Amino acid sequence: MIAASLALLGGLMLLSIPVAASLGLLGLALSEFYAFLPLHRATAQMAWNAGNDSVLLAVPLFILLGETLLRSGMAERMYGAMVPWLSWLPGGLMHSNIGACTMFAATCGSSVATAATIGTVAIDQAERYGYNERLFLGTLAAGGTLGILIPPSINMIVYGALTNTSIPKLYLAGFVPGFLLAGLFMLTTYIACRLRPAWGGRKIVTSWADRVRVLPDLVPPLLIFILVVGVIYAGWATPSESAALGVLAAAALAAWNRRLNIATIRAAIEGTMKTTGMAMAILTASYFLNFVITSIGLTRQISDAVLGLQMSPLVTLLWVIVFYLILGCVMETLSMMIATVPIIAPVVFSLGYDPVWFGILVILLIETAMITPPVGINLFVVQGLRKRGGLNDVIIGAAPFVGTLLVMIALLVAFPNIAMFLPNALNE
Amino acid sequence: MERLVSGATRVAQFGAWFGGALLVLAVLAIAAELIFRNVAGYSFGAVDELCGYALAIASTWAFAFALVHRTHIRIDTFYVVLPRRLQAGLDLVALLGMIAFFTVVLRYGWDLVARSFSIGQRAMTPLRTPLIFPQMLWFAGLVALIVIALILLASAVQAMYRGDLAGVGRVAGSRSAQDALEEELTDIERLRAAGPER
Repeated sequence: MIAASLALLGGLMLLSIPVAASLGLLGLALSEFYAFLPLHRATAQMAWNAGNDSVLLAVPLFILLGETLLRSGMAERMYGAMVPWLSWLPGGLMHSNIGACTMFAATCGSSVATAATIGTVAIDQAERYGYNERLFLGTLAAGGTLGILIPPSINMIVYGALTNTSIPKLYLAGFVPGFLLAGLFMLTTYIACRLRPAWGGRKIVTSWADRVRVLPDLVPPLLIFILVVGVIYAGWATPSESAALGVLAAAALAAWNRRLNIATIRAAIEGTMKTTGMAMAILTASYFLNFVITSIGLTRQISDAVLGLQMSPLVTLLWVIVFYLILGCVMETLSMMIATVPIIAPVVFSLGYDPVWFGILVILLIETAMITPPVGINLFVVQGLRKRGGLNDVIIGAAPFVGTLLVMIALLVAFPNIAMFLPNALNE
Repeated sequence: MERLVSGATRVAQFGAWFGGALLVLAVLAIAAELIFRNVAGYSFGAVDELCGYALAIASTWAFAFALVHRTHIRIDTFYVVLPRRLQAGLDLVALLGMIAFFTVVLRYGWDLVARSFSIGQRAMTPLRTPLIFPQMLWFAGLVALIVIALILLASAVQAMYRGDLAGVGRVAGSRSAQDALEEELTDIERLRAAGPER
C-alpha cells in the first residue's frame, strides 16, 4: 500500500499534474482501492471544512499583508536606515541586505515577499559600490528566506494547522534561531570578504550622526512587528486577528507614503487571490487525502514500517533531513510542506521529538529548499529582479549560505534548546 | 472560442475581486471586533463565523482565478526537458486532472448544499446562520472553476488540433515560477516609478 501510494503520487506529479489535483486524485484512488466506506463522498465536506478553518484564515490575510507591505514604500527607508548601522563591516551593504531582510521578516510572513521587497531596493547597489555581484545576490536570496523563520510566518501557520501545534509557541520558538541564522549569514559574508577582500567593494563612510538621524525610519517596521507579533503574547489577539491588524497598519503606512491608490489595492488583491487560490486548493486536497490515509490506516503503516527499521531516533531524523534536502531541490516549498508534513510529522513525533521543535527544523529545511537549484523560489525572485545575466550567478552566490543553513540545522539538532528555550521559559 | 475564453477570464477576474473584497471586509470586521473586545470588554462572537465563510467563498473563487493565471503549482522538473509537443500534451492532462478532482468535489458539494437546503440546516452558533447562503456562494465558485476549466480545455484542444502549440501553452501551459514573478515584479516597478517619493 505504501509503495503503491508513493508510485502513484510520484507518477501524477511527474506528469506535471497540478499538486492540488495530484493529492486529490491520490486520495480518490486510495479510497477506491483500500477503503471499506465510500470516502470520496467526503471531498466536499473536507473542502468546506478547510475553507472554514479559523486557523487557515490567517493564511490569506498574511499573504495580503505581504502584498501590501511590498507596495507600501516601507522597505526603501528601512533599508536606508540599515546602511549606516551595518555597512562598516567587511562586506558593506551585503550586511545591510541581511539586516534589512531580518527586520522585514519580523513584519512579514513570507520569504518570497521578503526577498522581493528588499531585493527591489538593494539590487542596483551591487554595481555602484563594486561588490562581488554573485555574493551580493546570494545575501538577498538567503536573507529573504528568514521571512518564514522569524515570526510572523505563513509556513508556521500551515504547519500548526496540519499538526495541531500551537502557533504562538511556534512563533516563540522561531525567534532565537531566526536571529542566530541572520548572524550566521552575516558571519558567512564576513568570512568570505576577509578571504577575498576584493569582494567587499568600496568602503562606505558613515558617522554616528548618520546613524542617529536614520533611527526614525526604523519605527514603522517596529510598530508593525509589535502589532502583528506583540498582540499575540499580550493575549489580545489570535494569529488571524494579528494578521488583520497588520494589513490595516501596512495599508496606513502605504497611505502615509502616498502609495495607497486604486492600482495598488487592485494589484495587492489580485496577487493575494492568485496565491490564495494556489495554496487553498492544495490545502483542500491535502485535508481530503489526510482523511483518507488516516481512515485506511496508511499513516499507521508508515509509522510501523519506519519504526520496524529499528533505527535510532537520531538516524531516522537524519534520513528525514536528507529526504527534505533532496525533495527541496525539485519541489516548490509550500506544496512540499503540505504534501509531506501530515505523513512525516507523526512518525517523527512518535520517536519522541517535540512538535514545536520539529516545526522549526522543517522551516529551516524549507528555507534551504528555497535557495537550492534547480527549483528554488528565492533564486528565481532575485534573478527576476536582476533581469540580466544567468540564474547561475544567483545559484553560485547563494551556495555559501546553503552551507550556513546546514550548519544551522546541525546546531538545532545538537542543541534543541536554541528553539525550545523561549517556549519552555514561557510555559513555566 | 476566443470570446468564450476571454469571457471566462473576465468571470474569473470578477470572482477574484469579489473574493478579495470579502477578505478585505474580513480584515475590517476582525480589526473592529478585536478593538471592541479589548476596549469595551464585550465580544460579538459572530465575526469568527462570518470570516470563516468569507475564506471558504474566497477560496473557491480564487481556485478559478489561479487557474486562468496558471498559478496552480505544477512540478515541472520532468516537463521542462520534454519536446514542445509532449509538453502541450501534458498541459491537457494537467487541466484534465484539475477537472477530474474538482468535479468530484463539485458533485458532492451539490449534495452538501442540497442537504443544507432541504433540512434548512443552520450553523451551530448563536447566529444560527442558515448554511445554505454561504454554501451557495462557495458552491458557485466551484461551478465557475469547472466551467472555466472546461472552456480552457476546449480552447486548448482546438489549438492542439490546429497544431498551434504556443496556443496550448497560452491557456494551459506550465508557467515557470520565473514568468510569474517577472509579471509581478514589473508591476511593482511600475508602481515604484509612478509613486511619488516624499
